[in-house]
Amino acid sequence: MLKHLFKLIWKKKKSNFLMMLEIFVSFMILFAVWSLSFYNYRNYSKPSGIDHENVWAVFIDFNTQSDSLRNIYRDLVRQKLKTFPEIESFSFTSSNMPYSFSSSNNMYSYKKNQSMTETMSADPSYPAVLKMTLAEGRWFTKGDEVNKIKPVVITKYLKDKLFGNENALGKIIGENDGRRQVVGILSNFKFENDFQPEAACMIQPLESWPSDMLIRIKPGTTVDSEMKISKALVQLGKDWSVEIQHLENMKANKNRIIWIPILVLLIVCSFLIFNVALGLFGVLFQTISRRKQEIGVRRAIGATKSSILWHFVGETAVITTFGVILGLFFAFQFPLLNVFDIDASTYVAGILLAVVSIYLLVIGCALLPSKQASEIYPAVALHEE
Amino acid sequence: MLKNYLKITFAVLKRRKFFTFISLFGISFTLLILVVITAFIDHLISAGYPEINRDRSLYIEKMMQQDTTQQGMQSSPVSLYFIHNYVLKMKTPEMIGYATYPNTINAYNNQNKLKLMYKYTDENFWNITNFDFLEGKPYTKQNIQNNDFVIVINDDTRDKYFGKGVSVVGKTMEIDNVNYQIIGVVRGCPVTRICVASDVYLPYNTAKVDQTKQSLNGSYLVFLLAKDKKDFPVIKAEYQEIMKKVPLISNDKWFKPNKASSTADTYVGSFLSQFTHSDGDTKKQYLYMALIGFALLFMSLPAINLVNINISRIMERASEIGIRKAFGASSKVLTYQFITENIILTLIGGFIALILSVGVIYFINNSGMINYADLTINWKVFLVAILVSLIFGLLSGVYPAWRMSRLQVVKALKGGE
Repeated sequence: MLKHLFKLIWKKKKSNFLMMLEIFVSFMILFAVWSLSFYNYRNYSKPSGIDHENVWAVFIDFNTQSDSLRNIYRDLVRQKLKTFPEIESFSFTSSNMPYSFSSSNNMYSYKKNQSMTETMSADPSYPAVLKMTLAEGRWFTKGDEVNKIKPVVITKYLKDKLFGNENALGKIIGENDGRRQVVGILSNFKFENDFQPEAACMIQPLESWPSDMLIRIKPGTTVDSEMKISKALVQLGKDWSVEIQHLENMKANKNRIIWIPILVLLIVCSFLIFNVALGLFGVLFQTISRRKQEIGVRRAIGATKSSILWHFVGETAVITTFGVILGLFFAFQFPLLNVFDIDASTYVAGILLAVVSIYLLVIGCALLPSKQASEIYPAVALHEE
Repeated sequence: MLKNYLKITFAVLKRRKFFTFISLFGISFTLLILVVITAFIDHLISAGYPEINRDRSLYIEKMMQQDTTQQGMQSSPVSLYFIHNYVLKMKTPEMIGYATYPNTINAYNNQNKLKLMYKYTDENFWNITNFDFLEGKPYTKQNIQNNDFVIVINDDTRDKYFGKGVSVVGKTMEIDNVNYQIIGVVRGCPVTRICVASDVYLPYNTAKVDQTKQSLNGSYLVFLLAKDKKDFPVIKAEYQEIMKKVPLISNDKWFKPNKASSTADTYVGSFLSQFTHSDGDTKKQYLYMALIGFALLFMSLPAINLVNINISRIMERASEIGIRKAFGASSKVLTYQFITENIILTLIGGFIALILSVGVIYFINNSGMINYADLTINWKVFLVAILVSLIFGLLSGVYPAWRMSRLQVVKALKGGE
């Protein structure tokens, strides 16, 4: 049966060529769409490890280059903030805080392994502000300041990359001035946006430069208090600038940058596929109605209704298979060549979903015309001839 | 004769409604997407309110200092020090203006918090751009020399801070704990025109930073207005001459640069140089090639679909062709018939696409997705897209039509193949 179908299609390969080409292109589009959706959905479904509600990001510009002045200024700010009952906890942080637009990368190595790492610096109160929990180890504390080698907290992803299965706690990474001792490991930390894959990140004790802050406020704090706090801060220094943003909004902003293009792409692709589906439906109708006589003969020599139905559905499926095989050849290059440095499982899932959806689509389009074909009376069809 | 062709065409299109629908859907939808996307790109790259001189402006957006021995690199917009001591000495540009990139700041008024974009500019910024002043006037060289704390705001900020449509010139506004006197109100512009967009505009001398600090890296971008596009090479060359003479300055004890580079690019070029770290204008053709390639790739699927459908449509009409041939129609007449049909179909599709795109663009402009969005249809691209779909339509129509028209009458009457 199957052999018969393949033979039929192969004999008419010239006239079926366009359909195969169309299925091939559709397959590639579906593959891209499914891979992209799968990749982003999987990342999205993991917890971010950050509680962003009721947190403000405060951007302060001290307008000075001097490290010692900046130190004094930071202490001024700390003292001032402690006087506000609305504030639960606060921490100075480098400007590459979660959901910000800035980033700062360094290369860290352990033995032969190395990894580009997003390096943030913060006060020991940082986990209290963002309500972060550790998988292993501890956070650095105020008492650690005397250590010559800075204690750091790293993400699990970075730990796996540098240490593999070894225990990382207490180990020292980096060289010379950049030596850091790992004291804690974070299991989840999505600091870019909700669609971020697991990333290498390190949080170290505050350096002399940063002047930005994260502040956790009590729920229900009003704009009035915000204005009060902002004013109080600006008045501390004569040429300071202060800007308060809500972490919630910053996060929504960063998420938008990811999901809007994906949504546009999905809409465009679904229209493309709908277009193809309509086209296939039309063409199949046409080809099947041209083959009335053949159907008549088949029925006359004993083919049942359902065997006619399945014959045409099968034929379409075979055409699809030719297109899909060509598509698979290209699609499998992605995991094999490790394109975009994405996990192979994403591509495999994309391929599987694309195969399933293209067969569903094509068979869905073939079903109605094939059903009509199967309802042709042999006498009528042969009489027409 | 033509009237006859048209009559048959409409009869055929009406008879096979489903096929007509598929073809029209494919054509109009593809054109719609192309038109909307190009409207976006057009909005991003071509001159528009208030940056009307974009086509004859060069932009200095970046200063890169490198330490080639240590692989260190520092890159940012340029500093006031660099502009005042080097850029302003240039002779070839007609006018030179500068402004910071927009930054955000909070402004509070009666229980409300406004998140405002602000921008420091010089006085020439107002001559290079073409803002509509709803009220008042821009600040001048005189204001800057007097160290006046004056401010120009856009209508959106006025409506939110003071109330809709009230007259505000002369009133004060507190920004970052400093009181500014409002001197003018402009009609706002979309944030996508990043070089000129902002909610409030402040004279550069009112910035809190130390303006005499010797550094090349700062926060300003420079507009070099040329009399004509033809002057671009001369201006670029002069700027490179200046760059050769610029002494390297670093205030960082860890970073000792030994090379400074910066280019004056056209708008698209300066956008590209963000990625290529070189003169972006030389890379322009790659961008255009990539865009055209993407458009062709996108059109390929609907095109194949169209060809496929056209072929089945014509094959289906084998018996009609047979009869017409039997009554003496020549191959030429039949081929013309099919060509007319395809042209009409494409034109109808194009017309539908046009209506839809006007709707979609109107929706985008008014949805508030981008404040002050002013997307318009790019007619050039629309016509090219129509032309391309006509070509596809013709190719898909002519080949089977030609084959059909050569068919023997008897065979055609029996239904083709």
